[in-house]
Amino acid sequence: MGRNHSRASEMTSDSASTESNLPLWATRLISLGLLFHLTAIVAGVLAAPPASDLQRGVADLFAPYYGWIDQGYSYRYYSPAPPPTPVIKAIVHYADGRSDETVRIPDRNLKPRLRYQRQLAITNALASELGSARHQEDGEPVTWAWAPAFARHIGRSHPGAVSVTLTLEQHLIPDPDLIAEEIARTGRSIDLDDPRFYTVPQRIGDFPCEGS
Amino acid sequence: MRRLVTGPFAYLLELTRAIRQGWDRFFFSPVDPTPLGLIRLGTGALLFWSLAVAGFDLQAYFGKTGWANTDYVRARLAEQSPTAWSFWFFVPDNALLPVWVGCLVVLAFYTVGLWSRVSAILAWVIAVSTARRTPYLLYGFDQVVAIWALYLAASGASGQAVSLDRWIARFRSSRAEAARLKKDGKFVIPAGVPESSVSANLGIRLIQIHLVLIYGMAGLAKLRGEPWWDGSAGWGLVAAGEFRLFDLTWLASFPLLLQLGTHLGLLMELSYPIAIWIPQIRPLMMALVVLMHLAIGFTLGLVEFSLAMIVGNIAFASGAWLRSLAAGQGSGSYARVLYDGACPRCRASIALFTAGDPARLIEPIDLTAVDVKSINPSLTPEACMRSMHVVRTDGRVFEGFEAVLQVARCAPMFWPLALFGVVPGVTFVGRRIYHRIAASRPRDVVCNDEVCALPTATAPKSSTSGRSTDESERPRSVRH
Repeated sequence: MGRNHSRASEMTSDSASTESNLPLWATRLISLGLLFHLTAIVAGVLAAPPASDLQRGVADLFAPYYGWIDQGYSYRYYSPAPPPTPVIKAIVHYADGRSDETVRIPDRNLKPRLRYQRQLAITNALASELGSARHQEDGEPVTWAWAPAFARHIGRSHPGAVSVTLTLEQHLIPDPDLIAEEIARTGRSIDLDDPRFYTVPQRIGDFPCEGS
Repeated sequence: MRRLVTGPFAYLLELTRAIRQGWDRFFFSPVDPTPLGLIRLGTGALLFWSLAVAGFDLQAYFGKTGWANTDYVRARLAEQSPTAWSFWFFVPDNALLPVWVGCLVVLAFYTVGLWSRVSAILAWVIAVSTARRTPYLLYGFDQVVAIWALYLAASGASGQAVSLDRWIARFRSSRAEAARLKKDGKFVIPAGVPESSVSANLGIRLIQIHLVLIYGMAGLAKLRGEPWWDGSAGWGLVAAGEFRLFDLTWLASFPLLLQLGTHLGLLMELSYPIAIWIPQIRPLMMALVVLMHLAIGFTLGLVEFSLAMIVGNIAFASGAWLRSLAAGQGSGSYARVLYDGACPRCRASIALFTAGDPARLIEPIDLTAVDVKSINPSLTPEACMRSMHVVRTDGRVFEGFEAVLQVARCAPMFWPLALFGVVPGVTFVGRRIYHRIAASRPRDVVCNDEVCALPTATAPKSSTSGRSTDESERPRSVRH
């Protein structure tokens, strides 16, 4: 057992050989900094919804620190469940008689793949904004943060565009039983881009490109 | 009755003392900085790649006419997080390209570990600034690399191993050693194992703790979701149409396999915060983590995120083990290198290689100070003077360009050269170039008068190069 233990230790972690050569005041000062930082990080991790008032209150104390060091994230990846993926369809309108053009974001032709991931982040930002807009009280005008900016950028990328209509749809995760049945029946799977796996596009708004 | 009061009090005192001692041991013990150096290498490469790819969309990401106007993002950020900052807010559109190039240069320096302390801070500034300027472009990858960059910068220890900074220091030391003549023709190669430091431990510990929080929180949060209990979440990952790299929908025919993957993934995330600290379980845990992230990278196409997490997990690997991956487990020299110690270029070359040989596999021997036949009977002084010779521990002898390739195999930094040598034709061309350079190499001025020998006037003169040998070592430069 002891031998196995030492082999495992060889591969992972370096055991400290000597004591710290830092003066006591330095270790105490660094310890205070570590305590502050680690408390801030844990508070940030716990403050994402659902969270208690206490958890949010503690995290709020560290808000300036989060701003300064770009921390305070919650790391709740794929929870509570892997979500469907939002897809933006931007319809570009021209004044010169050209027919409308539909732009898909994320653009699957983008290479390298990281550029595609960035566009997926854009769709998530817009979906999150749409979600917040839904929670606004009835009658209250919707204040868009990113939608007009994104629409203007798409408009600029298409010279002659006068306005851009943004819509958002969800690319759904298909029912595995449906896919399994299709494979059992035909020996082939169903294309994940099949229209039945997309929700009906939800209109976000029509945004002018002029003056951008 | 009194013990009811003193007992708990004594316990609390003891507990406080134990916590303080444990804290000090955990954070303030010096450790091998090799894992931190590798994390810097990985983090730097990922940051470099991320920013380089942003170059395709420079105006769209950072310009006033991009996805979001600079002033708008700045105003929004000031409202939401007044202390947040980004230098990109102050870069006009016509300066985006030079600033982007400058950032890439800084990240390249950071990756290879040049001027590490400064470049680590600048790399973190670049990571945070970019995140703040483009909040609508971020995903998990950006969060993770920014964390590693923060701890690498804060510790100030990122360049203590696996860095050009360290290699340059070793090269200078090797050159100084090579410039000293010794009776047996050998010189002492600087220590290969980087010195343990408290600052490296601080960086490693912070990364370890953050990893535990990330996995622990990711696991706990998943417990709220039914798909993680009924085992269907795994299907949600392989069948996400916008993320897929490959068509894995055939897995729908194997529901038990998907459920097993779901449960194992969740179990791994939940157990990581505890299991990773247990030495016997740690290697298994790390292997599972690497497998999980490779699976995420290949199924969801989140390659950069997966690599960033794998890079962070190096914090739990031992420095000695990591070094053994490059240098092997063997001890002692692998190749004895006979070089012309009277040739400044040869001394510099051998210093170059020995500086990049942390495992000390190379044993340099100045052929002007030894009887080469004592190294290997097949060697002759004339042949050795014509070109560098390598005598391996298995008795095989290599000369000229082939000897250079053998030496390159011993120094991890020069592995690319050794690999390049395998390409057909390279050896043919390399031999000719090598012999041309070797034939025209300058040598130390022969010291055969009282003037040049002044500083070492009492020493006898060498017949080969006019260099003096003495019981003590002395700088060669005195003979010029």
